[in-house]
Amino acid sequence: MQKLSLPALAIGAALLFGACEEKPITIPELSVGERNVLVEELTGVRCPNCPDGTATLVNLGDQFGDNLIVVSIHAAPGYDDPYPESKYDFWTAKGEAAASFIGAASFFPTASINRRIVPPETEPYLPRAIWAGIIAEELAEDPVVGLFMEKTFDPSTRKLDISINVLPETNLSGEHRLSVMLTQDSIVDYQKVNLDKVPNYVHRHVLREILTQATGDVISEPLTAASTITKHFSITLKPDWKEEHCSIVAFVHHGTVPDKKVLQVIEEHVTE
Amino acid sequence: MKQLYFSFALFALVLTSGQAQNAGRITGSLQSNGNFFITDEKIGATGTPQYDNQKFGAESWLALNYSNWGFDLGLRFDMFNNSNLLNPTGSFTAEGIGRWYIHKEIYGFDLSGGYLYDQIGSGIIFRAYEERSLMIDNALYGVRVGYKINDNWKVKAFTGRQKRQFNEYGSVIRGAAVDGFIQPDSTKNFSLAPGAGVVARTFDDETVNRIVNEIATYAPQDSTGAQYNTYAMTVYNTLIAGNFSWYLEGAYKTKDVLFNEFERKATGGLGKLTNTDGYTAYTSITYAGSGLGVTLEGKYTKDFRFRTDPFQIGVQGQINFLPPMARQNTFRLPARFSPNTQELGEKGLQLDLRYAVNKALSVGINVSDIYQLDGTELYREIAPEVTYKYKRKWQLLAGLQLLKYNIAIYQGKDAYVKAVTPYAEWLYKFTPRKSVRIEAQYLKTDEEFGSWTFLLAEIGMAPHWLIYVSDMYKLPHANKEQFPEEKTKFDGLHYPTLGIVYTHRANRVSLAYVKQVEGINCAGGICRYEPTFHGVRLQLSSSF
Repeated sequence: MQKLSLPALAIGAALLFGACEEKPITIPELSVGERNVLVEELTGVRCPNCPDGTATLVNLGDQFGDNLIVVSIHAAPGYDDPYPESKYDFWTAKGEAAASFIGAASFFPTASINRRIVPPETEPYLPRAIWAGIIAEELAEDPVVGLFMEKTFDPSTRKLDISINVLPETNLSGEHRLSVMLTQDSIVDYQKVNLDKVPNYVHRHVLREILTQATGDVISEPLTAASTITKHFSITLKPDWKEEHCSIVAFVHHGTVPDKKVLQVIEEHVTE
Repeated sequence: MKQLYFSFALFALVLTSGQAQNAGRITGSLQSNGNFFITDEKIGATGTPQYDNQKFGAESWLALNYSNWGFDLGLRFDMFNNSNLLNPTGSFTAEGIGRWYIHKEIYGFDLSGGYLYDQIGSGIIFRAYEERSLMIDNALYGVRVGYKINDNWKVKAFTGRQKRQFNEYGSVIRGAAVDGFIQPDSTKNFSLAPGAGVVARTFDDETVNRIVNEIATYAPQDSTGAQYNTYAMTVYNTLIAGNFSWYLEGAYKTKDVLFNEFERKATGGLGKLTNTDGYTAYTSITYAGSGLGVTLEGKYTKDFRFRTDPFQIGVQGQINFLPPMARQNTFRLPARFSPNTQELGEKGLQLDLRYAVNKALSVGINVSDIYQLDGTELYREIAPEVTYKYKRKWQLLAGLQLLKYNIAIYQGKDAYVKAVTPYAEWLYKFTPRKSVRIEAQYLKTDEEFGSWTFLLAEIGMAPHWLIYVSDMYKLPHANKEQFPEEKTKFDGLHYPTLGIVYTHRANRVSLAYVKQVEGINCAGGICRYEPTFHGVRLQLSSSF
């Protein structure tokens, strides 16, 4: 019995554990998320035609949903001074620097879409008539880089901590930059609307602060597929910035060569 | 239901046939708990189904074992009525056959079937066991075949699925082990007890689908492969030489899909599935002689979480058991901050030293130091203790616990708790049957909720009666307004307990009014959160 049992046990063990090789489990192809599109509207409190552009963007927002992210930069030359009765001054030095970095605007309403130059235009600021088509074109592209954000907001100190994860889908060469902006929505204040000075105009997506350099922080790490680059930012919200209406907008874009194109953008509310 | 009928029919058949021919042996046990819940918003005893609506919860286990003709049979009825044992903040109601088994030894073979408890080595790769206070019942529902090769060597192999309350997990577990005993010279106290084992777990399709669906939401940066089979293997030995005993075990586990709650997803959020191999090593050296007892233990663990299902966290679905590196404190306040074994990575040492100076006086110290693999300190406990016995009249035990506890890792709060806890127990015997026992403890800390005191008086009237009264008191903060409300919410609250216990032979009934603060309940390094309790607790245990 004993002599028989040892080989039997060996065979039993072999049957129990068998060959360790197995057919690998198929995991679906993964992606770094959906493509979003950044629209940077150049505007000003005294810009009479700009509200028409804002209204168009609100309609486009309804059409394209959360994939369309809008920032209103109050730096339209000659239109960005507040009225004496205005409660707020939306102009910021960094906002003006960002607007200049994007390009020169010669008509209003105007907005850049992913900072892309669309011939025959020679600057990224585009006329309202072609916004929808360009947005649709951009949304149809697959993102080459993923962006993900985590944030914590302490209501007692009003400190906002943000972590941005940059996830390249493929190897990316050339200079890339990360820009992080803070916007505030639904601010009621004066605005020139055509010929009228409207006191209770609702300003949308107003740029309040840029947490990186106005031209974006250069990403020094190599953007290779499967790498994760994490950047941290902090800001203390001013008392009159209503946190429930504030959002963080982060985007990766080319530096200047070959262009300034935005590759991916995300937006998160400061509070849910 | 079919299982229930089958079990009863089988048991009835065996019992009746046994009575007709040859009387066998019947043993059994009953354990019942009944909790009456009384809402007390001040201490947080509210917000669970038991406090809000149900008012009563109970658990009961009735086990019967029968032996005859070399067979052992067992049947256990489990019942949970509005019980908070499975989920401390939820309610669980179910009843049925919690366990049945058949066992027979024949021609050197040891055959078992049903719900089986067993382990390999110290349990590092496989341990099927029951710990009712934590609602752990990891019985293997399957078969086991053992074979005694000779007087010193035996092997076993088993296969089955792990029990999950009144069901089973889908994954299949199979394993084998060989255990030996070598004593070159039977006249000398030198021996070896080597062993080796292997366990394989095969995910079922449903579990694999859930894994794939989860990974499919990840970015490529977090992508991890997965496989059906994971193998864990272990080698161990106990060496005894004179007064020394040395246990050593090392284990390796092939790639396994684990849930790592400390890793962040690239897309944001804490916790993700990883696919990695792991290993662990554990050793324990003991010396006992001349009034001196010393035990030194060490453990190193990396990614050795081994579950039937990677989505099971906490105490459920564990295939293995990693020995804890800290002693299990029995006194209330020294036990308040107990470390949970970190399956994903920890390294630790524990020294326990006892010395009997003479018949009356003995001293001891327990030191435990546990770190994460990156060097972050998790737990440090230094606890000297002295016991003095005055004839047979009274006995005093006094100790001091110096503690550093990483409450951020263990409980997700703050950072570290640093506490100093002196404690004493005095037992005085009026007569050999009448005694009083007093416990006094003071936990001093600035962290978590702050400092506590605890007092207990217990009167024993052997062999039947035990009456006890205790109070745990939360010392108020000196400058309450300087602290957030969360830290001071229990300030000045009393947690009294009053209980009576009646014992008659192997039967014990206890009834107590209990007010108990929220905390961590641990057994063998396996811990879980226990919410505040306020109510009346009735417990019955009986063996026959």
